[in-house]
Amino acid sequence: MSSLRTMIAGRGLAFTTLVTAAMLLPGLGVTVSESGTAVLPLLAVLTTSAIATEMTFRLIRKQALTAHNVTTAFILAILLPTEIALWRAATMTVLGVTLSEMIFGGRGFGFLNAAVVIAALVVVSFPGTALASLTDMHAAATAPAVLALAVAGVLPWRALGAFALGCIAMTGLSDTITTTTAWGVLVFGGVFLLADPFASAQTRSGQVLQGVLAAVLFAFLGAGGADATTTLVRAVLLTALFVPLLDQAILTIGRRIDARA
Amino acid sequence: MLQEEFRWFAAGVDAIGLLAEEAVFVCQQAAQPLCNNNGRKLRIARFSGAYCSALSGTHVHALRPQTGTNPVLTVDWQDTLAIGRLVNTGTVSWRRQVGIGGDNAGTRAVATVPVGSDLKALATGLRKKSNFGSKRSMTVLSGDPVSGVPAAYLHRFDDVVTLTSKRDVDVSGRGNLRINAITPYGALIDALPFGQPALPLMRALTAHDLETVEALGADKMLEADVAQLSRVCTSGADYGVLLRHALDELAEARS
Repeated sequence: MSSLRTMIAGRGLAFTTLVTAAMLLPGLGVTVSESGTAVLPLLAVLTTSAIATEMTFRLIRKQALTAHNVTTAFILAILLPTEIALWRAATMTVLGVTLSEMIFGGRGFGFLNAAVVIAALVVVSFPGTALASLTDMHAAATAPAVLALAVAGVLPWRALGAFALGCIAMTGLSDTITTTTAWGVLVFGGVFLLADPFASAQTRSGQVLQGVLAAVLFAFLGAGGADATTTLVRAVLLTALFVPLLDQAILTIGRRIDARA
Repeated sequence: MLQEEFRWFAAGVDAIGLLAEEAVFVCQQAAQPLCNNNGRKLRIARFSGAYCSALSGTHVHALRPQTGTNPVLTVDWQDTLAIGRLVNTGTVSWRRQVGIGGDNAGTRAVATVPVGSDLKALATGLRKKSNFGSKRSMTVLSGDPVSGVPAAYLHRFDDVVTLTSKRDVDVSGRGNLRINAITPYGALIDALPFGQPALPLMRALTAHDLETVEALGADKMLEADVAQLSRVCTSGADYGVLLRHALDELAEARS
């Protein structure tokens, strides 16, 4: 197993993108089967605008061209409603990819998941827009991704595990999880939005706190009856903003413990 | 260590003990003590385990962490031996024992050679017979497979020579200051010794954030401590070189 991981890890960022994109295909298939081919023009617009934004920045910076945001487009094709105006999807994608990734230098340099930022921008910019409902079939389609990303070594499993345990714990305290949540939102959102290796905490304890915080926010933000997908996007975005602080707190505590020892 | 040289090691430890104001730790594997443990200034410390357990940075961190007011000096076993010989015989020895191995070595060997030896000449005859005729794939590292660097001559503090393939060296990105994105693989979390968080340090080093680098304890590390990062990380950065640059700048800022 370790040699397999070494082989996979040796491929770098491009291979991570490839594995993630491949693991999103079953979820896309579920969306197509449930929503029909109406999602295909949306997917084409999202993919074009996301990759064009990334490539434009890299061209200006005279860097090698990459297409890491193909995963962003795939996630958004599943999250956004199929009836959304294409110009809205394109504008928010350009803005979101720029704000969440490109101003930091590209994928791997920022601390936000581009798909989360774009989905949040759509909800905030166009009131009344509800994100797509994810079904149990999306959860089933995401299951292989957990295994594939874990083998590739790019799944922050502590964050995902803490999120799952946090959701179970919050079930008794808030009705959000039991009444409005489908498995699809928790599993798909947990794996592809929360457990993004580039937007997760960099310390072990930080990842655990990240998962717990996301679960708590998810439970309480949804208390007003908001749909589960929108609630999860908000919870993950808020959590991501706190992640650098969580890491900083963990490191500071660690230094103080070391100094006392 | 060759048996006839052993007496010089104990003499070297005694000489270092005379120079040191505080404790002198002799770090070794769990075996017979290499010198007398007098229980006061001179102490034996035993380490066992994976690669990190052999790093002097790990020893210092475990025994007496370095601070700004409490610097720690490390002397490797070959220099200790040379010091012992010098104070007892008055002659300086520039010869060192090196272990030669690696994927491309047909057999493992130990040789006593001068400091700065020609590695190409040293490697001749030890290379795998099956690899003759494919000279381009062969690289000689001064140092072990993790922290070694391609070199023509044996480096000052190296006691291992590794014969490896060129491809393995390219993957590790030694000597590279190119800043690519860091893919946060799970393997990176355990890549630093003594439980230090690797990813924050890697990001601070690549971003040249000296304040964070210092806060994360990098001033207590050496290139060998971060060698594993360069090997595991796919960004292509050489964290040993980045660390050295950061340490030099921090030292300059203090002075």
